[in-house]
Amino acid sequence: MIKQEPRLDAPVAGMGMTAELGGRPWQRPPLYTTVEDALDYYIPRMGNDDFSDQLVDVMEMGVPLTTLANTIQMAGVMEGKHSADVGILIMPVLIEMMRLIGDTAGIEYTTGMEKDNSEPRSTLVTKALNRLRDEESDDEDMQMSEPEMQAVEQEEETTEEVLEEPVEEQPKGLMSRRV
Amino acid sequence: MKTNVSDLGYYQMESLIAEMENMPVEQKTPTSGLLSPTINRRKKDSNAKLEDSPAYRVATYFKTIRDKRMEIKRD
Repeated sequence: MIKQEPRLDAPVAGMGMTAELGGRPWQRPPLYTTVEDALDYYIPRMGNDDFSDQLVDVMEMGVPLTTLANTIQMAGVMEGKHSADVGILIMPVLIEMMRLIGDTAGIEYTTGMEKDNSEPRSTLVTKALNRLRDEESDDEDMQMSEPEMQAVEQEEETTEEVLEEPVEEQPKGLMSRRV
Repeated sequence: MKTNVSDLGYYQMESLIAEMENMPVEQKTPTSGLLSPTINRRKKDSNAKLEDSPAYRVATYFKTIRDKRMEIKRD
């Protein structure tokens, strides 16, 4: 069974109220309200040589594009450029743009959407191991050596004999006599 | 808990593009001549909602970039 660990990176209760309302960029109205505006902000920046060089380096390191896209859009939300909704909507375009940059540079990258069937999930492995262990223990209980079997049979016979003996009913009342 | 839904959005966009490609092409009705309709009937446009949706608008960007990428890949 997986043991739940305490989350130490979670915000402290009431932390969201430590700054004045509207004091953070994401608490103010976003700069780009439509997906077109937001994409017009991102696409030219992503096409920039400095950005694409850095992006290619990161992609070559094996960072998944889904993670990169999520980070980029989240930074945009935090800077107050667009809302979280717009950020989620434009993520596929960001991924596709990064794939275009990667293919143009001729590098191999990880999209983060590959269906990796080579390694089973760790939870599945644990589950299968537990089941195997249970089955093994059941088999051990079922399989007994011949002397053990004989001993068990003898025990059963003696218990049957004991059970077969008639048991006389003892009088239980206050006025009853003892025989 | 899943915090990154970009892969789901990507798959959604792919299916939306497939839907866009299978959309029926609108035929222009003649406005003059013998075959022009005399009664101006309002057409029931089922795709109007889809075309106005932000996801559809994003899909057009997505498709343009993807086509460009495919061109580069082919070369």
